[in-house]
Amino acid sequence: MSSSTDSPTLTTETTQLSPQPDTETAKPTKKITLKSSDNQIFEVEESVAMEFATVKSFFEDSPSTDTVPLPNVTAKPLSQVIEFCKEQIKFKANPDEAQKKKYNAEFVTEKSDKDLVDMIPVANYLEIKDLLDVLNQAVADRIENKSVEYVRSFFGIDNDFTAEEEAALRREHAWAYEGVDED
Amino acid sequence: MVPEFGGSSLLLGLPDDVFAIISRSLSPRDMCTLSLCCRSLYGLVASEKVWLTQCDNVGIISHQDIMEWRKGVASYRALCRFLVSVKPLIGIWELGPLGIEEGPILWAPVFEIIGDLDGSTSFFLHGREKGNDHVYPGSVKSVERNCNVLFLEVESRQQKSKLFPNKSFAYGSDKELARKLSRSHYGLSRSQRLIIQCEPKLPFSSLPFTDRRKLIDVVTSEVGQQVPRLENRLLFPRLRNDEESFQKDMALLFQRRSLLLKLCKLGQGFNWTEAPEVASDPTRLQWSEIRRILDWSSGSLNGDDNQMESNAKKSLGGYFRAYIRGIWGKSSSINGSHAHSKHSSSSRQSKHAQLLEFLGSGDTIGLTLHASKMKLSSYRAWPNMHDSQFALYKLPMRAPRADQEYAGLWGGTFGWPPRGTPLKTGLEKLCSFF
Repeated sequence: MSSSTDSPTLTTETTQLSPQPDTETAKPTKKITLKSSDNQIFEVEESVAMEFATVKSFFEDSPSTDTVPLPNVTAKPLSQVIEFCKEQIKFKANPDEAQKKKYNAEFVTEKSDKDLVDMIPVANYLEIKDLLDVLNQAVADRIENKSVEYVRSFFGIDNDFTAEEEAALRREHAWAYEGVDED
Repeated sequence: MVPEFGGSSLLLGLPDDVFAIISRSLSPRDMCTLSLCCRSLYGLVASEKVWLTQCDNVGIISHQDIMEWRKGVASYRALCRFLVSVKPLIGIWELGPLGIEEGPILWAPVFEIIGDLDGSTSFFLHGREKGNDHVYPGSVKSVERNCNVLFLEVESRQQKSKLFPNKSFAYGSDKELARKLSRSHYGLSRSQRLIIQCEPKLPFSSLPFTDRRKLIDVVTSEVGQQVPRLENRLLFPRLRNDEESFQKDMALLFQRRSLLLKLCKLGQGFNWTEAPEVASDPTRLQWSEIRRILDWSSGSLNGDDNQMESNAKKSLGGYFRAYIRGIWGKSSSINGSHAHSKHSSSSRQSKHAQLLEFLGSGDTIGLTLHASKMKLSSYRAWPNMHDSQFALYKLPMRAPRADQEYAGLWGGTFGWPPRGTPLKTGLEKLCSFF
């Protein structure tokens, strides 16, 4: 990962579009640059970046860096994760559990299956616990009581069992499906 | 490593605890679904940790007990299987007004459901004959999730074990496996149907009452096993006051369980390779036996049946015949007393046909517990109980008050205080030790 220094020109607009001073702490905030694996650059406020435990410790280890490379993270999920964290910061400043719950619920419901699934490793890698909890729950909700076929396509899994193996496994697991209506 | 997180690699790439978080909010059924997705997920879901969480989630026994019960089964998954299958049975059950008033069983205080090594269930009806404790092993038929009635039934079933000479998948109980198979339509893809359809076409409950009663009598008298009094002195561990006596209790109970399971399995486990055809499961009566009796062939009844020879307490033939005759005699006398018209004989015949059809749908019969959901009318929160069923009824449950301890599983009896006043049945932790 050579971090070329002239790439900041690629800075995505989205992350900077909400500079409304709002209620956030009035003092000018330091910006931190994150670089995704597909070389997109994200400039986020320090407070947001500090939500990412991984980034935080990166800075603690080497405070002089200005760009944090995130080799495991692609741009799209990263931008969504940043969006989530920005909101969380607001809730931190103004605790409102009900609003927060509502936001979290909306945040996941409007995401596609793929988006959700893609965000999990990102949230995990960046160690954003709140988000991870929200995502895990959302994924669990989406695959709950679904068929094997559905779950496979949800995660984009290829079935690598032979027909005989699968039949045998289904027999072995038949107990879990008893007395439940297929939906 | 960068680009495609997705697919199972996603779940696999996550550390255990992330997967554990996801699995926490999923049901055992969902876990099974996941493990059927692909090999790697199968491996992931196979972990003890995942199933320990699932056992906790079932929520019918304490974490401490889960650890204890784990010792009796092959894995937490097996334990979970057991817990899931008995969960709907938890509650207070009231016996119906009907007891088996005559016949060899005088009363049966409780039934008991025991989980085998692989988490499959065995059913033991308790009873007393001639002052000795007896158990009547049987099976647990489908338990509907929101059941409110427990029926004591006789089940006619194909002796399927011979179809599965190798035991690679279910940990050991082919009988169980085969039984599961027969119900594969409960949630599995249609492709599973291939196996066997042996769901009796005629449900037990549609038989005339007298036939049902006689069948139960016949089966219980055959499958009943005397239990040494010693083995029954402790059914539940006492309160966990001090660890030492608790462990002693557990050891006793463990012993008792092994004994019961052995009773149930006797013959099935042994001799199994030498004589798979005999398939001698003492909890079931073979059709050949029944048919022979139905044919009234009076000769050579005690010659060739190893199964009966090995377990029988009495010479079977005449005894059995008397029973079947009893069944028919009874139903005909009832019909006869009501009408002298030609109807009676034809209806008798059709009843016989029903019985034959019921018996003919499998080649063995055995005792079974059938938990199902019925529409019940009730009077002041007490279900109205029907005279003609061997059943326990679930009572509405009130949340325990602070000074009451919820003792776990509850149960009652199948009958036996003389008809009339139903007994409020034992507030003991009842079935399902291990």
